[in-house]
Amino acid sequence: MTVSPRKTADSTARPQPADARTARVAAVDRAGLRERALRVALVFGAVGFGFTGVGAQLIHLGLQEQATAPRASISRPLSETYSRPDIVDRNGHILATDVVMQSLYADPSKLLGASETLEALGRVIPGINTAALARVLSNRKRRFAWIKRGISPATAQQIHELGLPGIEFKPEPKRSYPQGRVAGHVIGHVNIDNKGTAAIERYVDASVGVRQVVGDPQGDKRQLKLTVDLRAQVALESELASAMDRFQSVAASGVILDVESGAVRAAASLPSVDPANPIEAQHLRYLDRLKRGTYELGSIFKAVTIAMALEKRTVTTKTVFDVRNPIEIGQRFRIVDEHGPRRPLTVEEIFIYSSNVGAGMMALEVGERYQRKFLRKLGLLDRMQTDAGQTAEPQLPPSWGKAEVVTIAYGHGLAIAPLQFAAAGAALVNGGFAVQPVFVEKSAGSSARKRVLSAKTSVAIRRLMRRNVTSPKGSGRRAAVPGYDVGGKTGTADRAAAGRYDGNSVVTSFFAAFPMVKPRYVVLVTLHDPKGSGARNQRFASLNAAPTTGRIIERVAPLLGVLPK
Amino acid sequence: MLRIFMFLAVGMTLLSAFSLYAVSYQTRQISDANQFMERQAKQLDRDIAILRAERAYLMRPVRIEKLARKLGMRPVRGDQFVTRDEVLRQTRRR
Repeated sequence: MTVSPRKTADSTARPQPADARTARVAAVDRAGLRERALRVALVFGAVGFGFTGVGAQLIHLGLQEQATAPRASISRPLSETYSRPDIVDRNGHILATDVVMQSLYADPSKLLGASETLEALGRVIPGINTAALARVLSNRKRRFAWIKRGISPATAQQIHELGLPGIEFKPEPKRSYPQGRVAGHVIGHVNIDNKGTAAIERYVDASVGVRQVVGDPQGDKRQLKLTVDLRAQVALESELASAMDRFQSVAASGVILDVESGAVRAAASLPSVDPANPIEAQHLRYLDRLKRGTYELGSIFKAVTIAMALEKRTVTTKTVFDVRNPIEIGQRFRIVDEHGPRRPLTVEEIFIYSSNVGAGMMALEVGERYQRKFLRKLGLLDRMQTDAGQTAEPQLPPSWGKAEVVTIAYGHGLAIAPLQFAAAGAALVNGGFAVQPVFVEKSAGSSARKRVLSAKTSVAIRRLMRRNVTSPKGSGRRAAVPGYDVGGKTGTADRAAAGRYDGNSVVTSFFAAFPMVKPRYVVLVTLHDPKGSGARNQRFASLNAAPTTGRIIERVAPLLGVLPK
Repeated sequence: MLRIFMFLAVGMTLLSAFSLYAVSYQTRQISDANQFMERQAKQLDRDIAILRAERAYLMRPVRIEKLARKLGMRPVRGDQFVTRDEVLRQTRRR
């Protein structure tokens, strides 16, 4: 232990006895030690207090951070709404988007009076069900009840100005369709909670995913790009509407399909449906006749029949069939050609004059088993899956005898969705590869190509289709568009209703491809029950569906980047 | 030496306590400003969504077609296309 210099100086100034001096020194040392210990304790206490304060503040800040972090909102069980990605066409034009709208709800426990509140609201929101709401709002134990969802900003402001206690707003994403009814059947619908219920909107939920809204709705920055070209879609719908008007048709459908990738550039079924009105879509009048309806498509099936016969090598395009005599099977089944020259016809002429007897004879030579196998290979006997929903189940004959072999050869006895035929038709002209129609850009042409018929057969079918448009006798000559090398086949089928054919009602179709040298697109147009303006023969596809298809091709080809020769 | 250490310790404690409270205050201010900006951003996002929908509505081809037809325009036809060589040939003739 050290001794301080001051104390040492005192002891040397006045000499004292040794014991007393030692005791005094010891006392001074003890006092010094106590003083020093106290000083150290004070300093450490102050430092400790300071750091405790710092620590406390850190803990406080940590807790504050947790308090501001996102947490489950109390509104979650009250509002099951979802934000959805935009749906855009191949060029980025918006087809469907979310906009935030106010939804009105009540806290019955805070209402001054249910009937007074509803009376005040009824003046601003016409059409609310006040009787049903009065029952709900009278229950004071309830804390939540929707009054109206998705109200306009102007109405919300009016309600806000009423200053009703217990009436609150909740912002919710609502689906908006800026293009109106355009591509309505492709887009589909959402329900009141903004969940997809049909077509592409349903695909969005299943494949892209929607996000549940907790608290304030956040915009969904994602986009789903379709293969559809909005300009081509509008042109298709416009021309189909004109055709419906001109030929007094009850409905029409059309599709434009890329023969290589299967990308659907336009798909329409008229009367078109409003995507914002799911109730309307349930009415039969608004049935999607492209995917959800099945029809006997008539003579456009002859392209399939001839491809089948060429594929089995039972014929060439020059093979001659004597079509002057009817085909008779049993007592009741008799097929006769009502038009065309009364002479033997080559396969090419059977196609151009659309001879039912000729097609039937070819199919009989091929046989029932091969016919079934070939149709199945083209995907005409099974329901087709697409990203905009599946097609209706094809209606096959209950028994597949000789009579059915003949009728199917010219497009009767087998009812399919037109979209399925368009896909099969694309395989006939694209060199023989199966085509799967796709509506979403990323999936277009992603799968490996599967050959379903030979390139040689495909070339032959292309040549026949082109001849049917260029020949003065060809049933498709009214579909010709200068510069675009259109080829195609007409089909007029009696409409089946209540188990039998209605002789006064037909479904007319035109299946086309362009340019026929190396087709890029197929177009299938179907008119339901066209009548024409007094002229009975306007019921035939050559006079209504074929020219309509020509007009469509003339309008859409430049939009799709196909320039004339 | 011990005394210097003690003074330094006390000084550091006071300094860190002061800095911490200053940071805390700043954090609260920034947090408030951030929340305000987040609210503004959300509102702007909503406004943008509405404006995009309105723009898509105004630009819909059905409407444009009606206006174009009123101006005497018609859909393009195949015979209205010419090749670049044809254009050059006609230019040279002039």
